[in-house]
Amino acid sequence: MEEKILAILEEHCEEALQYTGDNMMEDGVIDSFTVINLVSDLEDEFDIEIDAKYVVAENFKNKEAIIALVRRLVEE
Amino acid sequence: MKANVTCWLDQTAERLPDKIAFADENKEISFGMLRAQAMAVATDLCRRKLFKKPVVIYMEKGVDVLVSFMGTAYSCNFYSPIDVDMPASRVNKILDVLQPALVITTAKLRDAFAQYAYDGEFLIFEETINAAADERLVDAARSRGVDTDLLYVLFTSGSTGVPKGVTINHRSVIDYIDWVTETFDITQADSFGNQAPFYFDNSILDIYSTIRTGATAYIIPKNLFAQPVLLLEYLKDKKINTIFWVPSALIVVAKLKAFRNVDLSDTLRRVLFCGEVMPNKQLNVWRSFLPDVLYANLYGPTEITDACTYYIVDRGFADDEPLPIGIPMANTDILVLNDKDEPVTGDEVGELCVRGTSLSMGYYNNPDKTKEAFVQNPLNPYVPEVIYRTGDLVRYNEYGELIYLSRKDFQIKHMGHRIELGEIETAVSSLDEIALCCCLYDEKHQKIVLFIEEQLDKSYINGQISKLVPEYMLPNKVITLDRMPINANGKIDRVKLKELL
Repeated sequence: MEEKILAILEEHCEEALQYTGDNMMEDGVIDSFTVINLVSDLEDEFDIEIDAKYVVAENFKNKEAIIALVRRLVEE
Repeated sequence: MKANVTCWLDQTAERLPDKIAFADENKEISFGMLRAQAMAVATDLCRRKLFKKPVVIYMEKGVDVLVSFMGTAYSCNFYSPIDVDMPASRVNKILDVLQPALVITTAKLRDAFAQYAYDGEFLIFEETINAAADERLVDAARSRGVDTDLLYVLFTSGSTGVPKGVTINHRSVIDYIDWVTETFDITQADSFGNQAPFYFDNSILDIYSTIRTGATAYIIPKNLFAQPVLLLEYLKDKKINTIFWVPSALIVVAKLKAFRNVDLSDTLRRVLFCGEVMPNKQLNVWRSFLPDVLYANLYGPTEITDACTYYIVDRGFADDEPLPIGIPMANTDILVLNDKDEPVTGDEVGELCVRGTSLSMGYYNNPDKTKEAFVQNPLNPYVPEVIYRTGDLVRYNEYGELIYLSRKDFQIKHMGHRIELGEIETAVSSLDEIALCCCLYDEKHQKIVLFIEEQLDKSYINGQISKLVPEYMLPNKVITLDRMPINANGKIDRVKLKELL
């Protein structure tokens, strides 16, 4: 699962893979359009629905946070 | 009779001195205080004997920038905001064109400004705003001014890499804002949610409608636009009933269906947009959740003071239909001209040209580019009359409304920013490693795609050119080809490249 998520992330935003900080939105690594493209691809790939309430800086602060979010939603 | 936009601030500050005019993340300012601080800034400018001179505003986005704008306008000088995140080479190009007489900034940012090619005067904002104002001195300057004096200069992308400074005078803004506030019935009871950066002319509507009517404008923190639920909660919390955003900001909310989380049906009354094409697919999501809101599509280049046509959404559209850009605003006329410079007939495609009081006076300190775009009306050989050729191709639909089709050249709209692809190509070509390159726009995924022949990765290229172009112009994707396709004329074959997107 992690590999698939990283592949999707790489497609939309290579920089996110190298990013080691803890606020990708604030640091300008991902913009709002990258976020919606990511959400849409992750929803299709894992057959989940990412409710808008989860689209906050905390859940997209780095690649680990995105992986954790998808894992949580898949398990639900 | 008003010859200066600050006449509105005088009236509103007298009528509603304690009402909040503008608020940002950190502070808010009343109309009375806005006027008092602007007057202090203007007094300083007048004492320096500056009149009809360019003034750069170099500050973080917030209410202080607006105080600086108003102070500059009171003193009959004109402002040009420079974004604190703009790359140094672009700032230097702008300074070279503008030759500012003064820079208004903070003590902290003054040190940052030292890196640029400027050795003129500074006005330190926080040291100025509490000083006593000399109203008679300022009044004397203002009454010498006329309504065709410049109010601001906004810089847009230029294909050769030199930004063009669009000049706008007081009369143009007065004409435009009169139309906005009357058409949408804006009053002191309304609240704006400002999205547009102040170096982007969509902000003119928020700023001057507020000052004219005594409404309140909230400057929305930028990071909320990628967090749709927090964004809508912000609108609800601040009771914002009117927004004028770029379509990409509206699309994010629609795509993530944030309306299911926050009900804005008792809050929002008007949703206006401008700056790029608004897809009906996303607008239909807004309309289904908020059917009672007034939606209006505004269209226009910076050269006509933000917008020149509008369409108030009054019927249903299928997801794949285009939304009209509508009809001309009051006191504005649109000419759609074909290749022979004749008015089009029926549904013939032509270039949208515009005339009216809100027309820019030209590109600052750039007579050549001004002559190319601001031309004599070909339908009027009798007296001098300037029209602006937008470079946008349009046609009329069966209702007599204008429909936007495409650009004549390589200009694009990306996240609301007007970009000449040629400016990105010029920047990339300046790298030693690059022999040939081409930039295209992938509309579907909203990505700037760069084609090169060398094995270089995106982060390297962007790292290099970020010194030359703003962040929003950096390619989102880099594709390396063995060889760039060339067409029969010996030029890069953009049609072939487009197939690779």
